[in-house]
Amino acid sequence: MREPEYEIINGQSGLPTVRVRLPDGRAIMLHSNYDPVGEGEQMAALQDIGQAGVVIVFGCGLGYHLEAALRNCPEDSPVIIIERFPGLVSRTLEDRPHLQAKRAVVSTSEIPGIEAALDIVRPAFFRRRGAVVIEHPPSVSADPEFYRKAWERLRDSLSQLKLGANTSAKIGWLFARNFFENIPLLAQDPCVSRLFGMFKGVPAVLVASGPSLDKNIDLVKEAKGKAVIIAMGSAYEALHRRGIVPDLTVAVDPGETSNRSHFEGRGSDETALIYESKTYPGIPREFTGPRFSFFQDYPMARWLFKSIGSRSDFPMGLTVATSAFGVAARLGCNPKILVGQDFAFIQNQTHSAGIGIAKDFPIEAELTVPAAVGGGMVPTTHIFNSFRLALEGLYWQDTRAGGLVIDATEGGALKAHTQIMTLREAIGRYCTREAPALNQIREIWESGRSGRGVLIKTARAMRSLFRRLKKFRAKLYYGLVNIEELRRLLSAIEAPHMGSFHSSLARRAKEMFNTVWEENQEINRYPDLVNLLHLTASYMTFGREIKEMTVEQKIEENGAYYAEMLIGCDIILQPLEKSADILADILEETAGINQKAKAGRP
Amino acid sequence: MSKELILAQAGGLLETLAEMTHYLAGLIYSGKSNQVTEEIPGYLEGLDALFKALRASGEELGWLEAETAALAGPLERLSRAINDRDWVSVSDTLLYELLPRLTGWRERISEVSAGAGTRIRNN
Repeated sequence: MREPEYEIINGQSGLPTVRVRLPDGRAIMLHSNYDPVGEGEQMAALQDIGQAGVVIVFGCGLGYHLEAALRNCPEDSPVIIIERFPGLVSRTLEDRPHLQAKRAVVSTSEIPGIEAALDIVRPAFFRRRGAVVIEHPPSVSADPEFYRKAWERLRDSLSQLKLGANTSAKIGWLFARNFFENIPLLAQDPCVSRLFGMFKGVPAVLVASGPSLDKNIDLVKEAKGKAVIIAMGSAYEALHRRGIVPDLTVAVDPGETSNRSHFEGRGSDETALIYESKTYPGIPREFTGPRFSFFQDYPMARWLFKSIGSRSDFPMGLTVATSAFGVAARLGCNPKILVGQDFAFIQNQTHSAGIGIAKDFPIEAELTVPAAVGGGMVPTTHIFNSFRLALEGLYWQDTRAGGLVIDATEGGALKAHTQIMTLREAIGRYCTREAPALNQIREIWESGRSGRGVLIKTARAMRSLFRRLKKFRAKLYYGLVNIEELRRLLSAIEAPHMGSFHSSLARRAKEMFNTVWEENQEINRYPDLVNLLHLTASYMTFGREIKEMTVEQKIEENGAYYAEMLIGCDIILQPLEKSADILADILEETAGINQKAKAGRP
Repeated sequence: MSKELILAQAGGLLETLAEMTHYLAGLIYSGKSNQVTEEIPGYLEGLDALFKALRASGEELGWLEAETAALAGPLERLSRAINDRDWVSVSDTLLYELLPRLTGWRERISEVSAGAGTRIRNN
């Protein structure tokens, strides 16, 4: 079937418009011949954008409606453009450079690229504003199937983002606590980017702990030395139980219980740990092999980068599977052989029997998806499914860059952009040569560890943050007390039969309102601390949840905001102080060693 | 029915057709083109009723024949755009080709109505 084609022509108004020739021979216009500007204005007026945090555009055309729609939108709100014809986006941005003067504009003309586009603007979702979708109906009618599929992908990706946000809202305190507890190691350990490009063309065997792993786990051993074996979180335990030592293990899970089962007592000098900065601190602390850190892009990480230097980040998504795949891609590994990545249940099992807590996972199928092997459907959950969709976006990017992703799970859900193969076949075909760089990982870790200067800088930054957070906490506390007083005064004014007392109350309420307002201004003078505390609060909103509020609602909202940040301060202050002490001890110890070394010098 | 009443009816129809033009364009702008397909027959019936009313008035409407002939082009384009589901061209034809003509007719009919009223009073 032919693809639709477009041409830009000059309309009767003298302004450009677009004619699209469709595969069935029809031709349709994307903009008015007579008044494309007026038409764009009217289309935009019908879409409710308001104070959108992120604007998602379905169909750009030449941007007439976009120009009008963005006029009333915050100038820093990023825009994601999903457009069937990438040339139209380029032309729009060429003709209207001001659209991206103060905001990020990312676009995609391919459906799997939606995930990557969302990833770029991910931090913007964590503001107290919603994501809004605006549609250009003529563009959508030029290829309804494309936009239907794009919409489905967007909906799934947004639900995954929301899942991440909900996770942040629920366990943001855990992320924050772990991050500050991990600082002494984060400041010392090199970033995983030190390994990037080291394994160009070497196969990676990415081992997850899905139930199919039990079928072929013993074969993984055959890839040892000929591929980079990467264990994802709990798969480390399953491999360890079978006496298989992976080259790398990736950890992102912040929780203590599961991580104890997967890692405790399973240290190995032959495996390098790659850990995200908010991982449960017990893992890096007790790991005996080389350690490499990586960071999701968030304010706490950016604060630490000022001391330890900026660390390369990469689109790692929310799960250990996306992180591990991202690591394998950045190492240069090819092909990437997936093992134990089911994203589905097998005989009511969600995980390999090789992990101790496999039986603890509740199993309730919510949907069925096509099976990877043998046809038919397999049961799964929405969460597993959203993980698969996120990974399919990465597989797609990888294959577009010339990579090959092999699904050697031998079961589970069918994955787009992969080749299905048995693990035996994949190893036999691709893991045929020694992988020379594997023995260099420890050296790189040792040579990449931070020097004393970085540790001193980090320790100072921690002490300074500790002092500032304590002051900020006091401001939040007094702010909350005064908000409570203002609330009390306002409700007293509402009460009947106040008589002459009413005007006195009103005067006091006005004074208190001014105090609360000034305190709010004062608190807003600490944007770095407000940002830093975002992980401990549930800031992510979807849809237009924040609308015009009454004064009472604004006071209420501010009170909730202060309370969340106050709790955030309490969560951070303790591990911050503890980590600062640990760093001070390390510095004292190394100073002693240095002095001894100096004293011993002839 | 008196000529004056028929012309008043025609004026009313023209007003409805103008409103309907904006309504149809609004549906297109908001992506509700399926509804446009449902509403268009009503719009065309309205145009037909307008012609019939004007002819029934017996008024000297030489301009009407010329205008009817001039409508052939836009109506053909409208029909083709609807068949092609080319909704931008549908709204262009409605707003920039048909609506100006309908507005022009309304003015003329107002003039004719005023003239007819004067003649009736003089008789």
